[in-house]
Amino acid sequence: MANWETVVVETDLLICGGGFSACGAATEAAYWAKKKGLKVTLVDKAALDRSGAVAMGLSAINQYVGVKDGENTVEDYVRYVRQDLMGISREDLVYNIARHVDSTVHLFEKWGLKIWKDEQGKYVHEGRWQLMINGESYKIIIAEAAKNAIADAGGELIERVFIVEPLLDGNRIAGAVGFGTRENKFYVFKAKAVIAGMGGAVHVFRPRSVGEGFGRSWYPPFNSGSSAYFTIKAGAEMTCQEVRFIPVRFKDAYGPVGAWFLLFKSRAISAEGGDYMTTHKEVLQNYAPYGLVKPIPANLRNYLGMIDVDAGLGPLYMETAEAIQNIAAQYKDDPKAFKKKMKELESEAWEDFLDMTISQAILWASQNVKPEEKHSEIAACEPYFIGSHSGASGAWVSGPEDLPTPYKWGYTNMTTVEGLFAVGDGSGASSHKFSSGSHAEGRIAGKQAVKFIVEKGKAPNVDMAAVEKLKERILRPLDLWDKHKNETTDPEVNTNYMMPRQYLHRLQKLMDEYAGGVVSAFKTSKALCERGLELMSMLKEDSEKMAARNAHELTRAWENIQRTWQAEAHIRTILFREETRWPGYYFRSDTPKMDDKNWLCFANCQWDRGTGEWKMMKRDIWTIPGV
Amino acid sequence: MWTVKFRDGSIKRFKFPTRTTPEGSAKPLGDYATHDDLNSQALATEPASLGLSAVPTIK
Repeated sequence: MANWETVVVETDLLICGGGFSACGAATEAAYWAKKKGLKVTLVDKAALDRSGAVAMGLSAINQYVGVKDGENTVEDYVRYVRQDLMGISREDLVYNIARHVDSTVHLFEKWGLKIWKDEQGKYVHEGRWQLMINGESYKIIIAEAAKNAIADAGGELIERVFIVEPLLDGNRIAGAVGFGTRENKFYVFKAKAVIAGMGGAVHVFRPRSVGEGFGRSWYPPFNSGSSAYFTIKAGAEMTCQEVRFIPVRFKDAYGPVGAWFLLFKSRAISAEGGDYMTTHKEVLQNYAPYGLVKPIPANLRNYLGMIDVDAGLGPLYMETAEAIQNIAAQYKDDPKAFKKKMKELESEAWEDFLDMTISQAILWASQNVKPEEKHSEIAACEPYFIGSHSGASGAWVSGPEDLPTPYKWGYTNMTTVEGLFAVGDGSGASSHKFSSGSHAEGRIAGKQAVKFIVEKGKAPNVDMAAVEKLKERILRPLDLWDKHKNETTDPEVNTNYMMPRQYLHRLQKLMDEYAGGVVSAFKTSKALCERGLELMSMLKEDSEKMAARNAHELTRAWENIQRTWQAEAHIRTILFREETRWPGYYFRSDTPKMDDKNWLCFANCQWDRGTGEWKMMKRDIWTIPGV
Repeated sequence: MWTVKFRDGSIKRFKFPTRTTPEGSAKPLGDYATHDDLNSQALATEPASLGLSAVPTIK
């Protein structure tokens, strides 16, 4: 076995991940841990300042309810999410996040985030729930508060360590193992409670980007399904594994469209000039009641655009020039004011990219796109797994104690594994939490995890002989490389192993062609899913043959294995749900209609740690009475 | 300061604020009132940081 040092870290609460939900968890847990004399340890695959989905920045806060000013109620938010997810949401969780999210936003502002304000000192809204920000340093500010909180409580921050597997003691979490992404060290974390906040999954499906652009995606390419893998392997029940997310964004560089649609009131059209939201309006009748109420669910908006693309009416365009002219038109009688307004709008349009998706600004510049002069192409991206946006995949977690929810088995946000909590993209069926709500959810779980430790905590029982076996398995790609690298003239082509990149291509091809990726125009069926699973069983066998030259490639190898488990949970759940509820995310051609009678329910799954079998199950929808 | 240079050679410059406080100064509790009740639904800085008298719930 590769000669890597084993480092053992003992702690009370282990927070895995470094994005918004993990930072929220650390900030809140540190406060309570300090009072109770407990240790909090946060372990991040990257560096906290620029890790997670908001690493590059963000141009808006997408969840702010505005309860204190009477702008909306928490119940309004619950209705909004129910509608957007076609009836499938855990309303207890959505309610819980929504009632805490405003305090998170107020904290962000105190920490130094610049939120736009109008002349009356009120937040500038992009849309009903969205606030405009100067978000270039958004993640740095949120990480700073988390770091300061951890330091104040005597906790520990460990960066550049990739968490791979959970450690269990029966049905109780006991810690996690992982390895250094830059140093040859194997890490063993022993903890009384663990929070899984390691993000969603990208590159499970073949991306549109190829060649030197390979890896460019809307959601962060480094999010490899670590949360899903960790919770599935711990034996936790999972939910909404079929509810992937496909955003429609500016084509090829994935620039945000929210400001254009919501702030600038832009239209999207096909190449023939038709506004697909109007042209295909009648299709929405098939998805009543969700399709008939504004805002039209994200997946249905996608779907109406896809109808035009399928008919060969692409490309689709965002009418940027028209939108800017419409806004500036109110100043048309005052040339000076008109010029000033145009300058302001131009600046806002560019900032929208520069503070979160710089590559889109580069692409526009390289293609001479000046939004005030001509329109710009938009397209549906490849599918992602992201429980915090308009997708819903994640672990099935316990609801809040004070709400009359049927989904309650102890501590809020705890999975069905004792002491293992899930947050952000790691917790399912609580969509539309975005950056601020993920942080709020992290705070909720941070406090609850400390409460769990205080009430039920016990020294983690870790079998070090089993850990040694895990170490051997995790480091095996290094050994395979070492053993066989000289057997061929090209070390990357070898009958005894495969490099992580080649494995990734196989996984992505499989998902793209069988599970409804871009090449299949997001369509799949029972037969395709079954064939996909058949091929996947062979792919999983071959995953044992991945080789790695160094810690970097070892990370890539394990990211791929994590993606594979997310992929399998996805196909199995698409197969289980015999209807098409989110046609703009995926379309099951053999069951093309939405079927509320049989499928207005959660589709959950669980991998049995003892037998290795998957169990599929339906769970009832609970709606908040009177909402 | 951002400089955007286009294929056609034209140039645009933009400047946006990055934060409102000095680097490193973020106080995790934001100077809001805190409490000691581990059993309540209120997070450390709530309800003060919500701007409400209590955390909303369903009656």
